Amino acid sequence: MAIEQPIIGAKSPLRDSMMWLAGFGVAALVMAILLSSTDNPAAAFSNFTTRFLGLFIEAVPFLLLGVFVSGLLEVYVTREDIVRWLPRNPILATGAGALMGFVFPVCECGVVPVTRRLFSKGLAMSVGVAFLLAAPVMNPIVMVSTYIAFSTAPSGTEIIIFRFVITALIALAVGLLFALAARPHQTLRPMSLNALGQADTTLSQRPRTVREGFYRSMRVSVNDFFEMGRFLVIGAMLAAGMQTFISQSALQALGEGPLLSVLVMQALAFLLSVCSTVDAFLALSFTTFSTGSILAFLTFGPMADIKSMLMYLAVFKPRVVAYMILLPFLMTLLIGLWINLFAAF
Amino acid sequence: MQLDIRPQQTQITPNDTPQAANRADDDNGRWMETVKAGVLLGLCGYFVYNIAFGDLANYINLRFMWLTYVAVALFGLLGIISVISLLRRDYNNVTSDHTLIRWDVILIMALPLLFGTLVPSQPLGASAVRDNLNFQTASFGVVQVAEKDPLDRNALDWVRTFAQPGIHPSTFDGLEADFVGFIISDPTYPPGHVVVARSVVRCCVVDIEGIGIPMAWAGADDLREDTWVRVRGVFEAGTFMDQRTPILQATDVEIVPQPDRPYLYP
Repeated sequence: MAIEQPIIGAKSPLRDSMMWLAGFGVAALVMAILLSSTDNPAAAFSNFTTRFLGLFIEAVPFLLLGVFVSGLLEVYVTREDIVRWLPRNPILATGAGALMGFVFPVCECGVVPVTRRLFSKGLAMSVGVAFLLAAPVMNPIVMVSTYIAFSTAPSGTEIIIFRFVITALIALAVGLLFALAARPHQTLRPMSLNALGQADTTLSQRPRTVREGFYRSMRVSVNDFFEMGRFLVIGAMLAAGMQTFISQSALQALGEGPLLSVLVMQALAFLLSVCSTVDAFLALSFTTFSTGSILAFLTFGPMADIKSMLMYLAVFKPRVVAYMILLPFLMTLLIGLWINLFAAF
Repeated sequence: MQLDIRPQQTQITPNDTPQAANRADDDNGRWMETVKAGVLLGLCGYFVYNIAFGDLANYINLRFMWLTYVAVALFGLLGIISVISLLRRDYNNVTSDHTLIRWDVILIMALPLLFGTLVPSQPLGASAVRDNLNFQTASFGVVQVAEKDPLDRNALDWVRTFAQPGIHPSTFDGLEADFVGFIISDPTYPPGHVVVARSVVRCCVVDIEGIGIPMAWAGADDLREDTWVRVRGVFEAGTFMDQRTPILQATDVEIVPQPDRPYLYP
């Protein structure tokens, strides 16, 4: 007999729905105002739609791969497995988290559902945060794409090496800060917390057959897709809106000087929301920018952009999401500035 | 006035019974699962349509087409799983971690499908790249002039060629060109001049950049923006928008249909 479990974190679904729909109405109104302010609203709307669909088509396969892995994790990986696999020393465990992208090679769209699932399996906060921030860069696919893009570019070798070193250091630092200061109940949203403090049901409900296990894991994937995908859709719409209504060349024109160039590239990385697997090719087009600012683009963008920020909100409380964006922002800003001022490449 | 002091009887309607409530939940769950299956299979169909009819070229660099095959396979798989759960009446609307999938969530996930089917697919044109237009750029890599026959070079090849370090624009004087692009016109351009442009996409349209070659032609002022043309002519160094650059002196301009692949890939 199935035991009905309490629905945790589902407080007032009607109110939540109304809030989402109200937000949607406001967004549609803002969109209508912005379109009417352009010379050619029809062309602007067409540009917006093409950009939105382009970003969705490019990113959704990675989200699908992420929820596919998430479903398998839910059914086949137990909390005991997680404890057994990771080092007991918190610093080593956080370091291992920063390198977990080599086991789960996912970009920023796929990493969020995987991390959320691992949190629900009892993964330590510091390890999960380090994984979340590092995996979009610290994985073999991005290593290859960055190498291909920059291997023949000026200062290319330094950019390739520093991209991975800076990402690993920032992910480790932010992860360790979370290890010192954060408790799961203070940081995670209820939906990511539900399995914590409860008996892990994976073992007691071990699938009897491969077919049953696969079916169950895919049922989880279906729901994860809808749960996480809405943030991708909204993020893609926001990024498309920003690109349609804010001139990129105007932003680039601001990018002079050691500090301003870094800030502009960070803003571009956040607004453009380009997938980390290909952002190195885009960074190549900013040859007039300083090396520090290009590195800021390549390290900050995969950690925080519009769509990943919204996806983080599915896992963490809003205050924590703010920290997860501000800390990498400040660190990449300082490192980029230091490179521009003092590094001789 | 007579007061009714009889004990009030609560009317129990059929809808208030626990069984009726369960039935309503069951109906809601079935509808929701049906719509979820519809969205998943619809998105699968949308991707298949784009692949089959070539519309994908309006959105992404076709080098990454394999990603859309992954999407088709996984959308199809998840859609079929939803259909199986409908057939098994196994559609509890609660995720494994006990959160609710609500109607608004499903609506948001249907938006790409709605936009994709209701708004006609078309590539980004002049209005999207005119603010981000390069006449010479090394950002796509530089090719040597000798590598390709001049008449086989597309607009991107020419822009790359012009960007070779240390080469004066007059180096290209007299070279013949024959390429396809779309027209960008602007009141600030000199009379009789337009830009023949192409959009360059590395990953998807999010990173789009425009490249263009200034063209002088007697009928240039009559060409409408976004018109696709095949141009032939010879280069001659000149000044365009305060920049010393090769300008194509067109001898023949032919209006052509939009190419199957509207973007160039570096």
